[in-house]
This record gives sequence, C-alpha cells and structure tokens, in this order.
Amino acid sequence: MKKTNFRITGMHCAACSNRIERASNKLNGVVQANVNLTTEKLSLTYDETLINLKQLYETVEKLGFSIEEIQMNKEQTLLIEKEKELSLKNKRVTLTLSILFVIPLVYIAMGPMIPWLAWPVPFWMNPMQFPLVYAIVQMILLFPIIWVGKHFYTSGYKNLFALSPNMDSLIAIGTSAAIAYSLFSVVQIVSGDFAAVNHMYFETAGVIITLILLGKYLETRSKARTTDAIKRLMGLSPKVATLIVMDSQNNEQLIEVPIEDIEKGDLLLVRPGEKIAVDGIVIDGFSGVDESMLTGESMPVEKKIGDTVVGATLNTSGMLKYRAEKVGDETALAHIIQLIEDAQSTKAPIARMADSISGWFVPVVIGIALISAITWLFLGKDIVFALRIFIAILVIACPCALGLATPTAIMVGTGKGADLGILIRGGEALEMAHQIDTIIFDKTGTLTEGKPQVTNLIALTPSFDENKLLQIAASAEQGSEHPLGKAIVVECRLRELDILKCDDFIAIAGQGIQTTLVDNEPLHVAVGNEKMMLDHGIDTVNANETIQRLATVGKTPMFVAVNGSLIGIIAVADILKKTSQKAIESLHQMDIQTVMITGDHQKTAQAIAKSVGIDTVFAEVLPAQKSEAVKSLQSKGKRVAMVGDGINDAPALVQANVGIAIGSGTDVAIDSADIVLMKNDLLDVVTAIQLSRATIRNIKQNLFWAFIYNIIGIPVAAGVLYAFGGPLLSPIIGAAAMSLSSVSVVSNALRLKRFKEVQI
Amino acid sequence: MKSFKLNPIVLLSVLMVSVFILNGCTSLDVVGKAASQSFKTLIEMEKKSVSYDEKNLTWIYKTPTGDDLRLSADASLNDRDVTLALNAQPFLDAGLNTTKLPKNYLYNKENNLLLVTGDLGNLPYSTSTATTMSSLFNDIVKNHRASVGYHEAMDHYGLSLGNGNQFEWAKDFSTNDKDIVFVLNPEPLIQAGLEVQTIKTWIYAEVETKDSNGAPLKVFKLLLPQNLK
Repeated sequence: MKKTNFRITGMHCAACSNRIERASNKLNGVVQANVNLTTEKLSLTYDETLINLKQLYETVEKLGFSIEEIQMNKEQTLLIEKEKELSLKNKRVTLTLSILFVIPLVYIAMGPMIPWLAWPVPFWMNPMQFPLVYAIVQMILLFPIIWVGKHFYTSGYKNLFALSPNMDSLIAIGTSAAIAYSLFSVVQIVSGDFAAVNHMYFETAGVIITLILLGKYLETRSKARTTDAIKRLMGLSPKVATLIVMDSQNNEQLIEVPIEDIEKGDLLLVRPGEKIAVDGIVIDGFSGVDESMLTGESMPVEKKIGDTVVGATLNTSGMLKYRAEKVGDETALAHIIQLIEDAQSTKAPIARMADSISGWFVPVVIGIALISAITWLFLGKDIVFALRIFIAILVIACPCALGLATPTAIMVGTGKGADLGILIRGGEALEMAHQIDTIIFDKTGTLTEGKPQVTNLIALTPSFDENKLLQIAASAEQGSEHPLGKAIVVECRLRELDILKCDDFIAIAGQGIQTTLVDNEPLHVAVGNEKMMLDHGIDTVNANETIQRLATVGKTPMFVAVNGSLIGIIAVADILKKTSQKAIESLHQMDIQTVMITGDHQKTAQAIAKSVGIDTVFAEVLPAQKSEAVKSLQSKGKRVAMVGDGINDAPALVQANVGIAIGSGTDVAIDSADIVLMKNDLLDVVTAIQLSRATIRNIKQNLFWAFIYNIIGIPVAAGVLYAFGGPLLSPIIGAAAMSLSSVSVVSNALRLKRFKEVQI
Repeated sequence: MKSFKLNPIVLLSVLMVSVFILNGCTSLDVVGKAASQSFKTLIEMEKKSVSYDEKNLTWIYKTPTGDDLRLSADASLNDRDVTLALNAQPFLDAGLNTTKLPKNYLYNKENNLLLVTGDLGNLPYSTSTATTMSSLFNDIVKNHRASVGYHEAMDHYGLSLGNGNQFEWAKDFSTNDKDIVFVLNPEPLIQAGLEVQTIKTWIYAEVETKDSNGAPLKVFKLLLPQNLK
C-alpha cells in the first residue's frame, strides 16, 4: 500500500473536488482518495500492484483538471509557492480590469434609468434617443468583463454538459441568460421596439462576474494565510550546510552545499549560532542545542558524541560534527510537515456531509430556478420578471461557501495546533477529540516525569546489606529498558558500586526480570513485583507490611530475590509533572473523566491518583492489557482518549477513539497517535481538547453561515417574500451575498488563528 | 502558469475608437430613422392637408381640428422654426390673458390663433433640397437631432419645440388610437391666466415621460389628441 500526494489545479468549488474524489475512488486499486479544495491536493492511498498512476492522471485530466505528483523537495515547494503567488496576482489583475469596466457599465446602465440617481450621460448615449448606441456601448463595456471571467463559461458549460454542474455552471447559466435576453432586446430595438431598451441586463451580468471575481480573489488571499503554519515550518530548515570532505592529502575541507545535496552518511559541521541541517548523530564536539522547534523547550539540550541531533534545531554554544542519518523527506521536520499537510487534506465526518450536499446541490438549484421562473410566468408575470427570478436563484445559490466551510477551519485549526506544538493528524481526529468524555493517562512518563529515582533500600537478610542489595539489583537490571530498572542502575552508579557481569537476561512483561549474575558464585536473581515473586514461589509475607507502607505513599516497591529467597526491597518513586494536577483539574472542569492506567501496585497507583486528582485507577495492568482497559470503557459508551508515549502504548493509542502521544515528535509517535504533543506538558492535552472544540465550533459556524445564505437566499430569490408583498432579490444583490458568504466563511475560519488556551 | 497579460493602452484605444465611431455613426440612430419614416407615412396619409407657404417659406400640416403644425423651410430666417398654430378660442374661454404670454407664445388676433413657436437654432438646411415636408423633417433629424425623440408611454415620436411643447405622432398608426397629439406645457399658460380645469377640447393630464438623461418622470401636460382614421 502506498500513499502519495498530488497537486490538482483548476478546481473552483466543492463540486469539482467531489468529482475528482469520486472518480479517483472508483479506480481499481485505490483504497482511499481525498481531495482538499483549499490545499488543491489529492491524497491517494493505493495498491501500486493494481493501479498504474497513468490511469489516475488520465482520469483527472479527462475531467478537465491538471495533476502532478508532489515531491517533498524545496524546489517543487518553491515552484508551487511561486505559482500560487502568480495565481493571486492574475486574480488581482483580472479583478482590476473587471472593476475598471463594470463601473462605467453600471453608471451608464443604471444612472439614467433611476430618477433619484439622475446621473447624466452624453446626449448621443441617451437611452430614449439613441437606444441602439446605448446598448452597444454596454456591450462594448461588458466584453472585457466576460473575457476575464471566461473560465466561468468554459468550465461551467463543460461540467454542465458532462452532467456534473458546478458553481461555475450556475454563474455561466445565470449571466448567459441575462446576456441572451439583453441581446434579444437589442434585436427588438433594431426592429423598432425602442421600449426594449428598458429590458437590458448587461450590467447585471457584468456586476455578477465582477463580484464573483472579487469573492474569489479575497478567498484566495485568505486561503494563503491558512497555510502560514506550514510555511513557517518549511522556513525553519536552513538552506545550506557545511559539508566536510577529505582532500587528496586526507585533510578536512569544508564546503558549503545546498541542503538538498546532502546525502545519508555525509559528515557535516555546524558552528555556534547555525542551524543543524538534517537529522544525524554527533561524531565530535560538545554543544547545547535549542530544540524548541521540536519540543517547545527553549533550554538548550546538551549534545555530545553519540547523541542524535534533529534538523532545523539551533546549535547554540559549541561546534559539532555530525553524520547525516536522515535527509530530505525522512527528517523529523519533514515528517511533521507531512503530518500537518496530510491532516489538512483529510476530512472530518462533518465535512463529508457538506460534500455530499454539494454534490447534488447544483442540479437541484438549477431545477428550482427553472420551476420558479416557469411558475411566475404561469402566474401572469412577464418574461423579464421570470428571467430575473431565474438569474437571482442561480447566483445566490452558489455552494462555494459550503465547500470551504470545513477545510478552511481544519487548515487553520491544525496550523494553530502546530504553532502550539500540538500535531493533529486530521479532521477525523479533530472531530473525535471534541467529543471525548474520558481520558486515560498512562502513568510513567505521562503523569510523571518518567525519571524514577530510588528512594529506599531495605535489606531483609543480614547476608546482603543495602549496597549489596543495590549492586545485585543494578547488575540484574543493567540490560533493562524499563525506567524502574534504569533508576536502580543510576543509583548504583551514583554510589560508585561495580556492576557485575550477567548471563541469561530474561524480561517478563508486567512482572520483572530474571538473570544469572557472575559473582564469587553464580547468583540466580529475580527483580520485580509481587506477582513475579509468587510465580517463582518466593515467599513475600514478611515484606507485606513494608510493601503496604511504601505503596501508600506512592512508591513502587521492587522485590529482589537471590537463589529463590527474598533478600530485600528497593522502593522507586517517580515524581509527578508540575502541570499534572492542573491538567486533571482543567479536564474535570471540562466535564471529562480521568483515568490512570499503570502496571504499578494497586496501592501505589491509588496514592498517586489521589495526589493528582484522577477519578479512576486501573492498576497492575500488563502492557498488553492496556488496550483492553480502553475497550472496556468504550463498551460502556464512553468516548475515550488515551494519553501515553507513542512507543510503548501504541496498541492502546490505536484502540482509543483518540490516541494522544506526549512528549515526542518522533516517527513512532507520529505513526501511532492521532494527536502528537511535542512538548512534555500535560496541559497540552487540555489545549488540544480546547482547540478541537474551538475548531469544530468554527466548522459548525461556517456551515451555518454557508447554509443560511442559501436557505434564506433561495426562497427570497424565488419570490416567496414578493408573493406576500415583500421585496424581490436583485441578481446583483444575490451575487454580492454569494461572494460575501465565501469571504465570511474563510474570514471566520481565520479567527481560529487567535485561539488561546483557556487557563482554568 | 502564465501571467495575465493586460494591455490597457490597447483596450482603452479600442474603447475610444468605438466611442468615436458610435458618436458619428448615423446608421445606429434607429429612433431618428424610424421617426423620419413614420413622419413620412403621416404626411403621405394626410397629403391633402399639407401645403407650402411660399411667402413665409413654411410647410404647413393642417390637422382635422384646424390646428396646424408649421415647419420653417429656412431655420435661419427667424426663431419660428417650428410652430404650433392652435385655435385660441378654447384658451381664451378658459381665461387666458394674451397680454401675459411669455416669449415663444404669440396671439394672432386676426386669425384667432395661439402660436407656440420653437427655435431649432440657425444651423442651415437648404430649402432647395427640402422639396417635401417629410424631407424637411429628415433635414431636421439630421441637423437638429435633439429635437426629435420617442415617447415610450404613448408609443409616439415627437418633434420638440422646447419649453415642454411638442408635436407627437404615432409610431404605428394602425394600432394607436391617438394618431397625432399636440402637447403643451401648461405652466406658462397658467401663469398667463389659463384655468386648465375648464379648458375645452384640450385634456389636462399627468403623463409619463423621460428627462434629458432618460430618467423617467411624470409631468402635467395639455394634450390635444386626434385620431386620423
């Protein structure tokens, strides 16, 4: 299965994007195709053994659009940016031209006709004296406007004849009707019916096209701002890097090269104040690196030989030589950008509703327009009245705001999230996150710092004192990846005790480890929890009181047994993060239940939960059982989010309605979680939920405005109010309202940029 | 993507040329042409009522009510290029004080005529070419185009004398029951003592018309419609 992004140009509205999406999804081998109108991207997941991309290209081009594969390289990105700038410039030029001609057109068409305006016109253009000249002048002024708006006709009629009318079809039909009738009036004037001069609507067509162009221009300008987050991230990467090459005399030479030319394995140098070019491993030097771009932590992180460095982070104090390990679209930054771009391409379920409406909306509107016009004719109104009704409905009913309502909000919302260090995978994650009523927190590394420390060493036999106890436990744990095991090893090193050699290291998940140490004599050691001791037939009765005492104060007791006998207990405690309690409090204020899940002893877990305010505790849970715990809550109808690190909690994160990985922007976290919190701050969970609620609220506002324009506009344009003595909607007012609807939806989405986390 | 190439100079040039062409292109003057044709039809219909006053170089169309439309064959002669010669009695009976008549209004006591005149200016049109009243009218259309117009509400063409006075005739005689109409601005006459509510044979009514810019407006007029059929 492969996933590729493509750039699609030529889309004008949601009907276009829906057509491409439907056609792409029908291709054999395509698993999922998502088209985002705002980002102009097609995100395609497909089985490359079943589909040739040429088929996709042909399908899209046949529909009248252009397609090209997006390469994650700066050249193409820059080219795309340049094209977007050019597109905006072209829109500005065409709009200016249109306005230049529509102003005199409106002046001439409307000024003389309206008593309270009474704008003077030259005698030779007087509509009553020289009606034909009057008409021809308007036609001349209209021509350039039609020219700059010709894509409405080429695209609109093409889609109409393909039985897939879109927004352009509505504009094309509406303005064509106005122009056609006006031309008919001109013919009547030539035939001697001079009163027909009152029935020309060239200015209506001109104003409609101008207003639509204005709306499109403002929309494009606003949309450009929705991608600010991505542009900012792309700008983080340096343009050049210092490559270390060996000359013929084996001396190091430094060459400045474009970052695109760096390959895996290259040796690079970064000086103080420079940005690290790509992801790599330090091979020489020592420095502090500002990784705030990745973690939000502005305190420089010390880097020495063997440490990993991340591209786009800032080297502060010393000089570092490092070997490139990940370049191009494999870097952490590239992954983050890709995640945001993918997120912006996805659709929230609520968006699919809008899409499905857009699909049939246009044909229905054309039907309503025809029926309304014919009905009024039957009711005795003249053709001019019916025509006005027809045009007004087509123009006011344009569904472009509907198509923009969701993607613009998602783009701004996910972009804002990225600014705050919250990476949201997509629209679906956003929509689920706002519905969350229960959050499960993994304990170690999530609620706590993840850096447990040894607090108590309790020797239970005279043969092994505290130091010996520690030495044995540390030697057994030397190969362990578990934080508790590492804490014991750290303590041993702090006390400068020797680490003994060990054989046969076995880790038993959820219990502990067992190994054989080489000392004066072989020692069969088991270090772990009570369950491990019981399973190995080791009696712990004597230690129960000690265990209970330690657990009650939130410490994790670890039993140490040698050759089948319990020799001591080592207590380890992991301190809570500073923001844990506040985060839990905030979530409670948001009516969200909190749950803690841990492999810890029940009493230990409960003590920690109580100190931080957690509602429910699942203790003594094996890693493999975490996802079951999530399922059990879900089966009670809860909508569950799981917060943990992306590496160890992956199954539970996947099982949860929303998986939130905290404290890491690594590949694994990005792959397994729906939301990635780059900073190690639990308050970001609160912010993520608040942001998702704000974004969904924004989407609903946008959909409301998009719908309300149409729901109110269509009946008014059809003459419902007029039938009861109310006003009739002028096509020009309709065009203005339609443009306003698109602009207001995008502007409302941009309000999300001002989102601020609410401190509860 | 190509940059949109806009050549404003070319566009403006095209526009200006178009304007000049339109300004000078008489073939686009459908109202003038149709008015000429229609006037010709009227004159041919009323051939027996049309005469030429050689002494005064004036073409005269006498309507069935005895009121005349007079066109001067030489506009440079005097300021009576167009004259409505109207039976003065209805006006006198309605209180008109002939001593208070303003400029462009004369009382011919001898013939008991109220003469309403209009000056089209001194742009000459040659009497030698105007061999008929309708060809004279063509010259008026050509040289004094502003004085000829179309009255949409009545579906009439009109020859304006200025000051709100004009002579109108139907665009289509077969469908219009008011083939010709004498139209007077009542204001100057009211100032001269006319009581418009009491005048006989003339109709005092509000009519829909258009101002000089073509904007609609309603004004009160004195009307003397006649059906020639």
